[in-house]
Amino acid sequence: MAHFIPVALDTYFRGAGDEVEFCSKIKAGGNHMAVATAGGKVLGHGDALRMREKELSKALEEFQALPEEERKPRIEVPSNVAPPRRVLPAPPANGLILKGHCTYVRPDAAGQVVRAKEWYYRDNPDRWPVETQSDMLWLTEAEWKSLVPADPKPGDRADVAPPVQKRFFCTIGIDYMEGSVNALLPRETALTLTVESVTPESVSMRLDGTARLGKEFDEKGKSGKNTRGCDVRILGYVAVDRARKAITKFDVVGLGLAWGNKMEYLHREIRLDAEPWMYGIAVELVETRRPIDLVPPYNMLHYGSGLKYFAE
Amino acid sequence: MRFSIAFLVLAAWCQGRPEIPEIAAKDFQRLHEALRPQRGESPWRDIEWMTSIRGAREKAAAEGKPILVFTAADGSPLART
Repeated sequence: MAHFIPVALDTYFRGAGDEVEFCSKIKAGGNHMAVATAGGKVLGHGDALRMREKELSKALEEFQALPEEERKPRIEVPSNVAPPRRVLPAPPANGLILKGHCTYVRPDAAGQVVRAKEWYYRDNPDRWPVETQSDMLWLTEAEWKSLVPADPKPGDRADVAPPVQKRFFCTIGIDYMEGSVNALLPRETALTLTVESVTPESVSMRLDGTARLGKEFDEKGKSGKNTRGCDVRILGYVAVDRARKAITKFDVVGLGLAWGNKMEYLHREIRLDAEPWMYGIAVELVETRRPIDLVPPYNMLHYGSGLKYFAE
Repeated sequence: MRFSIAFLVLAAWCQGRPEIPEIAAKDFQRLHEALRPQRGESPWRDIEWMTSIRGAREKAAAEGKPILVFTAADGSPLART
């Protein structure tokens, strides 16, 4: 990849007028991969979702055969360029960024929960293994500070604020293995922080929680529309640096059972034998601020569930 | 005891009545590692993606490299989509 400048975009948030125009010129939109010069000349096959080594090599060969003025064009942005139609949100100022991961799990012969190997289009000869999905959770400064006790003592317990509970469970506490699935609104949530240890430097807390989200499981209606739901249980550990007044660890593990169809208009691309099926989540604190760390939470932008991200 | 718990979990699973297992503190680290992306599972995560077309064009022009553009129709391709 050292030979390329890689850029990844949500099609609905491609940027200002000049950026959208460039994307249109090289047909970069939808679920797509393209290689082009900085000036907008498409290279290689130009119309493929797959960019394997052979496709990339061909594009690179074409690029290297171009004259220097095409390989290193002058980039000029007009002064009257149209602003973005949709502005990609930035994380809240001094907020907390958490990254969630989701995968399928199963009990092994000893009863220990392990990853389950499932497939996209498993009956298709071209099937490929499902991939861990990731999503972000953003908390405002006021929200994460509300998690830090003012005068902590071992054994102190406090419920997490309801809006934080809701956002946590609805967005990264669910099974989102099929990617573009909406938040599931809660039927019931509980999330409690317990102080485990206190030193002059740090506070260590345990996070315990459960949630019931979306629709109740219904054996008869499980293949019907609008049937998604899940139950999940979580355990986590949160650490606070008292001098820095900062959360320095936010590790969470969750195990859940999920059911129903992911969307109204699609049936599952990942066929599973059991229903309900078992899934697991992991959450970790994001401490770097690379572009990949600043990707907005999926349900902040693409929601059809009625969840208003920061408003509740 | 451990065998009994394992038996109950498996028995419930086989009967189509799965229960969500308790998450024991001693299992926490193992599960936290097992549920995150695994080594080699998603090589695209190791790439230093940019998320600005204009920035990518400027960098590509300055360094004399082509741009690889990865788009997704419903969410960032760097997260779930």
